[in-house]
Amino acid sequence: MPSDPIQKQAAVQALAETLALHYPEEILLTLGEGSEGPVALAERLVRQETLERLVRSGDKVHEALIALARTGPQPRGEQARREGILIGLGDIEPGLRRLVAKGLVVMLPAPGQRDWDLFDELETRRYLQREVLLPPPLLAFIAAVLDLTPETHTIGSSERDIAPDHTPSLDILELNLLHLSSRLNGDALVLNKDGTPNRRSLARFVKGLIVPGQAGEDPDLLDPLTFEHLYHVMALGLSLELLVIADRAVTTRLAGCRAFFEATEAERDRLLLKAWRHNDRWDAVEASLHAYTGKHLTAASTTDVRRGVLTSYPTAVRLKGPRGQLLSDLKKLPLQSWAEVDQIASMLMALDRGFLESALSNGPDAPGYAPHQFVHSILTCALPWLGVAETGLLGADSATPRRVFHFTPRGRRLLRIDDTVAPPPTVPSLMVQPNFEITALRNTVSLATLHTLYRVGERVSLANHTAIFRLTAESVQKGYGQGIDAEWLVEFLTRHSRAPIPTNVRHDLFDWERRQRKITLYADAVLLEYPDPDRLDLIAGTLEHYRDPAAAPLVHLGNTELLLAAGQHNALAKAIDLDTAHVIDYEQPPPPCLEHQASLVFKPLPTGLDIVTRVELDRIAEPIGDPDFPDAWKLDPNRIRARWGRDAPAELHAFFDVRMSDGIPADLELQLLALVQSDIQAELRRNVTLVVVSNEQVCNILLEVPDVDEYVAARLGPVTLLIEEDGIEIVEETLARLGLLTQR
Amino acid sequence: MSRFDPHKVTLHLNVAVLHCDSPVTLEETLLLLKDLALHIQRVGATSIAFPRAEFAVIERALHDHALFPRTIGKLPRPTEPSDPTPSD
Repeated sequence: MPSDPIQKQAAVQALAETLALHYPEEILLTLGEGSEGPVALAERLVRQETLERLVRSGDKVHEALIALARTGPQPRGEQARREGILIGLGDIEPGLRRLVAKGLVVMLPAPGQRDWDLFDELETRRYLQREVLLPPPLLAFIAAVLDLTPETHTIGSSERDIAPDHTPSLDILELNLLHLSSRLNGDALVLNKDGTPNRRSLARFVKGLIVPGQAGEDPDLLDPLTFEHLYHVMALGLSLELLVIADRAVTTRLAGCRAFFEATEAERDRLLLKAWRHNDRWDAVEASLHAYTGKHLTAASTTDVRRGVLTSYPTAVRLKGPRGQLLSDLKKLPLQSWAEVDQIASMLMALDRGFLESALSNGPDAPGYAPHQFVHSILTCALPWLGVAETGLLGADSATPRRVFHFTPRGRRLLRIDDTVAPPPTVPSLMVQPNFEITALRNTVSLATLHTLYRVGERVSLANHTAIFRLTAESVQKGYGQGIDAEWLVEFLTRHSRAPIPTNVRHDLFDWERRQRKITLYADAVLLEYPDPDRLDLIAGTLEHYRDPAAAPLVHLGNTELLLAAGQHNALAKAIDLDTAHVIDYEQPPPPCLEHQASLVFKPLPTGLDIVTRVELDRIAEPIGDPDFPDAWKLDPNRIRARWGRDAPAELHAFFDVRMSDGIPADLELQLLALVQSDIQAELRRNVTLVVVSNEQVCNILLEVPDVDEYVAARLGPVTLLIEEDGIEIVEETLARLGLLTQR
Repeated sequence: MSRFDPHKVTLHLNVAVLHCDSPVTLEETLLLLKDLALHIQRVGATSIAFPRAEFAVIERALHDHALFPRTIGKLPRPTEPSDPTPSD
């Protein structure tokens, strides 16, 4: 197409001004081959035939111009290069370099950059980090001369001939997260010392989790794929703060569960994406290696094959950056329906300019993965397991099947590739039966509704279209214990049910609430006693002021007793003198609390008794004085034997030894033994006969001589034997016969 | 509980407490627990205190009678033996 002279003149003028403004004279001389000024140079370049000759020379000059036309007038060189890849033009860098080298595209030096050389910048490819300028009048001229419209480019093929892999959907992933956090609510998954989940403990909590490709609700923990899927769910649950690790155990974080499961789909998507990006407890390369190529696990442990543990670890931390970068690039690819994994990976690798290599290999904590290995693990494991993508095999029956990938509709929404918002379900999705079972229709029920059902019920079955929950006294009261009340629950069920709530169900929901409210258990508390009620009120006021407001409130249990949540050491230190307080820790041996008053009578020390001692004393002794507040206790052998049976001597010793300031004195210990052991006695003997031999060997042999052995009452030491009265003469004769006897 | 030294505060650590809405409920609850080998001490008119280690026994006894009360505070965790590792 012939060019418009006015348009051409404007292009020449714009290019000449740009060259003069940004390039020093020596560069202009080089570009102008020694003799031209900027205007003459621009006039030579802004010609239809010059442009066509450049395009004909190959080197992707045309593609570079198309990419520049799409990126705006002043992109960075790298930006133009990436645009070329993303619209399917391939790597346009040779064309861009040629355009800059000719002077048609002007490279802007970095701010403050001095003594720079254009050809050095081109040689070292630093120009890709600089802004490159194609003045708009010049771009308009080029667009008039050359066709700068890119061909419509998408990657993908139809769904025909694709055999999908078993991958979890986002809905299944969310249901698994809900199920797991519900099972761990009020319970704890124990971790081994190395941070891996304890397998026996894990087996208790995984029942009901859905593992893709595995039928039933009882996942096989010895299957590596199953184990890795469960591990992924747990790591994501921790990253989402639905779960929390404390004291080597994984438990539920109720606030996190409410924030996630009761949020809208868009908000959950945001939280899921954030958790996925920042997950520093899981490594897709390791997971896919174990899951797809790992050996069958043993019942004992997976410790020997797993580097990562459920706590954050350096390798996984290092992968957060590359994972985020890769996802950012992936979202920009023009993916339509199914596309080959290898093709996507190639494009992602082309977009990357060394970041992956550097992040995966440099530094002490670098995992050392090859970039293509990492990219493949993201495409075939990390994203499909998150449920935002599916994978499958194209030509599964052919000799060369190819793995393919596509984003799911929910995945496209989560990744903001698709801006549509899923409409909230409006149809009632529950059916409450008189047998206390609630059927939830899975295609209409919201996650928030399921969350409430999990809080007050037990899931008893899960089918493709329904989930059945059962309301029990336990499940409903547990729900009440976490802030739900009967009135709210009945209103919730009425609102979501397709039919009225059966009368018996309504009645029991209120009855269970009445029962649940009768008792409150404090599982981990400090009990503070002070005999002066007025002074105790002052202490309570101070504690109230300084205690952690998030902890359980103070409770006055009586006039002289105050209940405080555990872990309030600072508040206690402000309220009382901890150094003089009498501290009884029930996870330690009791402090001394008893003294011996008289034979078999014990009385408490002035500091008082701990609960265990007080109760045990009533079991083994008779109280003296007021039965509710005895002054002392007298030991009762019958009670002691009833309490401890044959172990009474040892138990009695253990009981008193720790509770008396200096242990049990020897004389008291003998009294206690005599109390519970009838064969304890002593005999005083006078006028006894002893045989004393010269050494231990002689004594040993003498004990085997029949006429001596028969009359030995006891051996009193290494060389001394006590002889019975009726054997004295025989023993004397035997010793004489043996030549051992010496008269004394 | 102890009534001996009026000058000192006594602190019971690692205890658990069962608190009822009325003295009648406490009596009913104590009847449920009477056959168990526990160390229980009445505190005030509506509560009992016991070592935290006995929490699970009391909780189970309540569950056996369809009582699932609100529980406040960290539960004593059941212990699981560690999985064997290659170095074991």
